[in-house]
Amino acid sequence: MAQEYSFEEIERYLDGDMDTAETEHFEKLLSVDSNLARRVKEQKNAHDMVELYARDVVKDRVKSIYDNTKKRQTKSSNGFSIMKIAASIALVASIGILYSYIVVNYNTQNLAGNAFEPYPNRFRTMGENEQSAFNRGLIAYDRQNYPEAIIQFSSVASEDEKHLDARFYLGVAYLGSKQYEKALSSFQLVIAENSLYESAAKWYLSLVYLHLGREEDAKNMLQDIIDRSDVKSQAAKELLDDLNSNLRRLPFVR
Amino acid sequence: MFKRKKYSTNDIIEAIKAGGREEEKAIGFLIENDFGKVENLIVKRNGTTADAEDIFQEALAVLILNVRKGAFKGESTIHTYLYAICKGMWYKRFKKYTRESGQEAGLMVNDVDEGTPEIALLNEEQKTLLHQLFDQLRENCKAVLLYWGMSYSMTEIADMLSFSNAQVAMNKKNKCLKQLRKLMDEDVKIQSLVTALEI
Repeated sequence: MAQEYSFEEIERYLDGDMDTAETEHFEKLLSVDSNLARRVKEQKNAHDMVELYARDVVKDRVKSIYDNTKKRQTKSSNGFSIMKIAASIALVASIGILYSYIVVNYNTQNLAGNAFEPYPNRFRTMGENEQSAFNRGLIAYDRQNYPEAIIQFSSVASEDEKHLDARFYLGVAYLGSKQYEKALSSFQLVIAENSLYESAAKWYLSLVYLHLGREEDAKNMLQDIIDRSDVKSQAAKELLDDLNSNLRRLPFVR
Repeated sequence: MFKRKKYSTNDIIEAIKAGGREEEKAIGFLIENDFGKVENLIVKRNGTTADAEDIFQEALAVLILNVRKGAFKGESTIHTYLYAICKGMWYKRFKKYTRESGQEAGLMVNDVDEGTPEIALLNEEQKTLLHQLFDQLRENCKAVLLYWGMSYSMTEIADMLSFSNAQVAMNKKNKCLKQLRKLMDEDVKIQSLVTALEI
């Protein structure tokens, strides 16, 4: 009777953990036992799915590094570009260049993107050796490794729904990695719980609204922040002024 | 004037293995140093800058995973390797076009074996399916499989997820993989995805 291999034994083969003799024996069986071959193939398919999933998560992180690198490059070239624009305006009164500057700076996505800054880590006194998932999330968050931070904070939040620290930082990590719908639910929950993050969550929620094209909701939220005269009031006023700027009525700006 | 550190292939391999900020800086260096060449390649072959960005980011993810699992050992420079992955991926995406036009298809196939899963590309719909599949697992299971997929050792996984030892992490990984397989068996769309990818 053919030897029956368990899931775990097939795993050892697929993970390359069998020694040479075991591998040879296993592969010999594999060539004659179609049932075993089918099981190995199905298990290998699951491995490949995990690999593709891991790759997609790593790609998210690469994308965030890519965006930051390009942002830095644009910032340094923007300094140069602004001088060029000023010189061009002075020399040839080039309305076109000015117009494109307005388009870039008053575009909704750019206004929201430029207004985003990660919320400071309030837990800096914790040592890097702290083994909790929350602290591992914070370490990843500090490095702007949002995919990793999301995994850790989600794990904390799924264990303890009322862990508002995790919920809030999870929202910021989602926003930082452009997962706006998920950021929206995190911030809404934090606000509903009247936590000490309420004010900051409202600010981030207004940015999420902008990214989701819900400009009126964003404006209402910003007005609410201004009315409360809290720490984000000035930033909210500036963003609201930009959103209400007449320049945004020009074609192609939004 | 401040200049960004210039990394050798070995520096980049070490930085990726170290992870964290070191890894980010090394990846930033590759983006600044290598993206232009890849963009040039893709734009010359009927692609756009957005295509180039997507392929380049996908290829960097493959590179990171291959370095972590020891599949890239530095036989060529990391720049040649990255470029070859990008070329292979672009060939795969536009296989039909290159076959019809005969544009340097042979050259591209020789650089990277197109049959390897590492250059398999998912479209947005397939990515959504893949995420929906993993979202059905508990966060803890998802994390174990993710770290395992990223080639972390069982000892590292035990450490990161607060398991008592590597054997516990291994048992958890096997349990979660079984659950994943069960979900795959029950999902017709995932079965079609597996067939479509020929994996």
